[in-house]
Amino acid sequence: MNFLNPLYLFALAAVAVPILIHIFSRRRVPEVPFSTIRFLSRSDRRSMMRINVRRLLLLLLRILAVALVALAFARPVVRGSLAALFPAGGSRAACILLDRSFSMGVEGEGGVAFDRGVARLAAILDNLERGDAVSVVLFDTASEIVYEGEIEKEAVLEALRNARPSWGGTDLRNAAATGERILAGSRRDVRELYIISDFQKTALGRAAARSETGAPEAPDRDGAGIPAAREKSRAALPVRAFLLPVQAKVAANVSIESVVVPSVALHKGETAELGIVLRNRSRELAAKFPLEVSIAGRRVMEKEIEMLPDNYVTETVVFPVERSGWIDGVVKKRSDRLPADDTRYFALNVRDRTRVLLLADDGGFYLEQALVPGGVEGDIAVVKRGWRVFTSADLGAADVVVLGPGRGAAQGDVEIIDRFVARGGTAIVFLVPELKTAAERLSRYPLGIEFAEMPQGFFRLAKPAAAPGFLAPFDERDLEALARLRFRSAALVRGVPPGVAKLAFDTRGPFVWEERRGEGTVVFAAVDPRPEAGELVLSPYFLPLVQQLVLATGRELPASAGSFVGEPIVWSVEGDGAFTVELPGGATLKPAEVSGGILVPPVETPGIVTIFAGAEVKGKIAFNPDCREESDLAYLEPRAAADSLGLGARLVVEEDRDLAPAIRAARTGREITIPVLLAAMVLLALELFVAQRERGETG
Amino acid sequence: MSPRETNIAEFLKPEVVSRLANMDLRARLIVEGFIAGLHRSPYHGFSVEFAEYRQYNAGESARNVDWKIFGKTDRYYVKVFEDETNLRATLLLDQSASMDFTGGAAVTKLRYATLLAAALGYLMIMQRDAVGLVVFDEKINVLVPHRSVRRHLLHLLTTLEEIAPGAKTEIAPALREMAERIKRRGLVVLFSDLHDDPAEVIAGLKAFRHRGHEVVVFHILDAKELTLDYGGEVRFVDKETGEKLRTQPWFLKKEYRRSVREWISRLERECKEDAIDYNLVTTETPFDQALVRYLNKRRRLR
Repeated sequence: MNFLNPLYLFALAAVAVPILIHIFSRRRVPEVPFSTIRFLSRSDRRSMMRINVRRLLLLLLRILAVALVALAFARPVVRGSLAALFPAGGSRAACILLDRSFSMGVEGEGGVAFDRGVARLAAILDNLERGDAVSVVLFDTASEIVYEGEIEKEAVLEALRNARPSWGGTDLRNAAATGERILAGSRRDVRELYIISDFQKTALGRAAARSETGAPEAPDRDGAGIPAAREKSRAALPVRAFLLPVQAKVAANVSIESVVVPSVALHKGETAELGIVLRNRSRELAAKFPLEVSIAGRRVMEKEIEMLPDNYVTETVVFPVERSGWIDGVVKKRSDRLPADDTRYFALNVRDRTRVLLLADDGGFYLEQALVPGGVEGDIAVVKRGWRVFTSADLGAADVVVLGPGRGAAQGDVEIIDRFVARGGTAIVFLVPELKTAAERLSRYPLGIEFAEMPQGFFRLAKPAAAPGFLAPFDERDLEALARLRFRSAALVRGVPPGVAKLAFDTRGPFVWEERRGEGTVVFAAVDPRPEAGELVLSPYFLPLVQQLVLATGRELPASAGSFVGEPIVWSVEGDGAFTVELPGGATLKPAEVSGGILVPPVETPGIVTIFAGAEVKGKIAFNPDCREESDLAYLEPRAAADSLGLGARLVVEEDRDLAPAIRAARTGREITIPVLLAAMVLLALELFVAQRERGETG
Repeated sequence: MSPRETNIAEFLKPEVVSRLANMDLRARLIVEGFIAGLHRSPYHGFSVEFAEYRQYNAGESARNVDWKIFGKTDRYYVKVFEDETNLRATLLLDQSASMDFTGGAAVTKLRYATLLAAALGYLMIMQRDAVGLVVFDEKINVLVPHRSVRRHLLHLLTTLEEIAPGAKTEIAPALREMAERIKRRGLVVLFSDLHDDPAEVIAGLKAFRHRGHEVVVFHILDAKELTLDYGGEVRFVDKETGEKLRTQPWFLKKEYRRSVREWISRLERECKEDAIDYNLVTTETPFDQALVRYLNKRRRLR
């Protein structure tokens, strides 16, 4: 016997009531003095036994009646031959949920799991009858209704002809809610929910994890309000659920977890380092396979990899970057049972030159020399403009704007620079007295800037414990030399929180610090770039310091770009709006423009998406499946999944079991709430009758 | 029935009588009320010795009018005779604990027995019979010797007034002892619920018959003792033994009634065999019925 509302079984505790009344009434017997009990005691023993028997009978009747009422609330269902005694229901509505998450692409003994799932779906259709309503839903993290209507096997299979496992994860809760919503909308008496899935261990965790992190739910492809269905009380729906697992017997899989690309900007002529993280998901089996890395269509590595069970391996690939612009690549390993995670794409952005707009007047000579020594351009291309003569077009053609000495910024100039930064540009501010207002305007902190001169003594820099990120090329000796430099005058800055400064004076005042502003970055250097301010400008360290400020701070990304299959991405790009997007298959589309760039819609298959502005490549994005969850071929016990989903009446039909008899056996189950209630009524009537008789005899 | 008679009948009900304060008053009320209801006065016609003349009152029976005097004086005189004391009556009153029971009636069995004994005593003294009183439980507790004078009545009634419930009854030994002690033949009236072994009780009564006594038994029971009309579940506490018994009386009722009926009919039968006058009264029986039974017996004794 099963129960459709098993929660109500708690009401069985109510049987304590008649028992308590029984015990309580036994205690409260009044004492009656009587002349003699001579005539009573003779017949007493026998009669008292009869009384007790009758009392126990009454108690039993009451307990049974109460228990039956409680059972009726829990809505009992009987199966088997017993069920034939009760009247059957009418027409049927069936909803079949077919898992198409990428773990369903695993190849097992009988073929690909998804194909076996389709075969099981066909077997379900064989067990439905003419006139039954059927809905077929494909689901991964989202659900898509692919068929809805009266059963027609050919039409259903036709609707599934092109269905393949997707690249998405699994969200069983979402799928079950969709199924229940569909069935709740049905007017049929009998409602059946079929779930064909491999029941990935992570299939129930996604929704919870998402709601915890506050990330948005995956969009529903059928566009219906599934959360509303989820709120609906499950207990109200008498749905019979069938769980049909399709799982791989040997759950061994090696996945390419991720490709780690350099996090700082790459420049032509440098060497780049790729990290390839591989994971053997099997708890028992070791693995051996060839790994191949191609960049821009050229193979750069081929290697045999050996892995222990349940183990991570990180392979490093070092290659020279010979040209600038966006380049893409792919890491492939030999396919195993689950081929979806055996290929991984990546995209890199190699910068040609960083375009710098230097805003300075007379005092800007040394700064310009530090950026382009001897007028020869290296990684940096400089355009120099005097203060108050530059235009926003100058800014539009620059990646970095350097604010140097001179007449200083007018109010309008600061606004233009601020907008440039907010859109993703980098500004480097050298703190000279004429830029005090501009610096205060561009910083998020309430800066207190004071320009101090030390005629007798000198300022010095504090030697950092380790080289900060942007001074990566500096070694210990360079840092020591830097700390020996004497500054005659400097900007003493208050208001910058401790720990923000990348370099600081020995007075603890910040020397270089960086702030995010909008999409961009502002870098402050508390130094006057003129020789009279101290020894720095004429020292050999000025040039690398300025170059590093320009190249290694600010616009570090995108040196690479990547996203997961099935997730949309907003690509930050500037231009006149004539963009096209080329998808992995070669198809192109016009992207929608949103604030901050263009919206690249969710991509269905892994690969490289290229963004063009006319013929110019403006970006490449690598789309890969999110194999953190699905690659792990660890499965849930279907019953546990059903419990977690709150499916009351459910039947698990393993793959090796014949579906037809199992379904038939489950269907012959009948709800027997009414007969149970009637039985309770009969018992109550009997109880009343016996009690009334007792009362009649006492009265 | 005239309003007056209704009123009198009212006074013969135990619940009414028991409310009166004074035993003398109660006894008189019962007897006078009873006599007023009779068509013939029981006081007269027994005696043989002339006592005095007195003036005839209107409405009196003309039977005792002395016609000779009428012939001489032209006035109606009635001859009044002094009653001859020829009867020694002994009232045996059971004061055992079981007698101190009422199942809802206005009076306990003991109270009823006391009132009935007082009324009989009053009636007997009025008839110039010598009346003695024995109060007993398992032994004789009070013994009032036989007297026939009016003054004795007060003593008798005071004694009755003071009777309190006693201990356990064993009637039979007490009866045998009393049979030993009451030498002169006479009338023995027993007021008891007879809660003892019936054979023993009969044996005790027979002892009186052996010595030539006339025996009248007032078997006093409460109505509840006959019917066992109790509801629900109760715990009976035996008045005499203190023994407890938990039961549902409705369930035992049938069996109980049968047992009690058997018991009573056995007593009745065996009493009849020995010419013992057995009267079953409940505490709800009006006193006049009991008195009538006594008077019938008394008449037969003449």
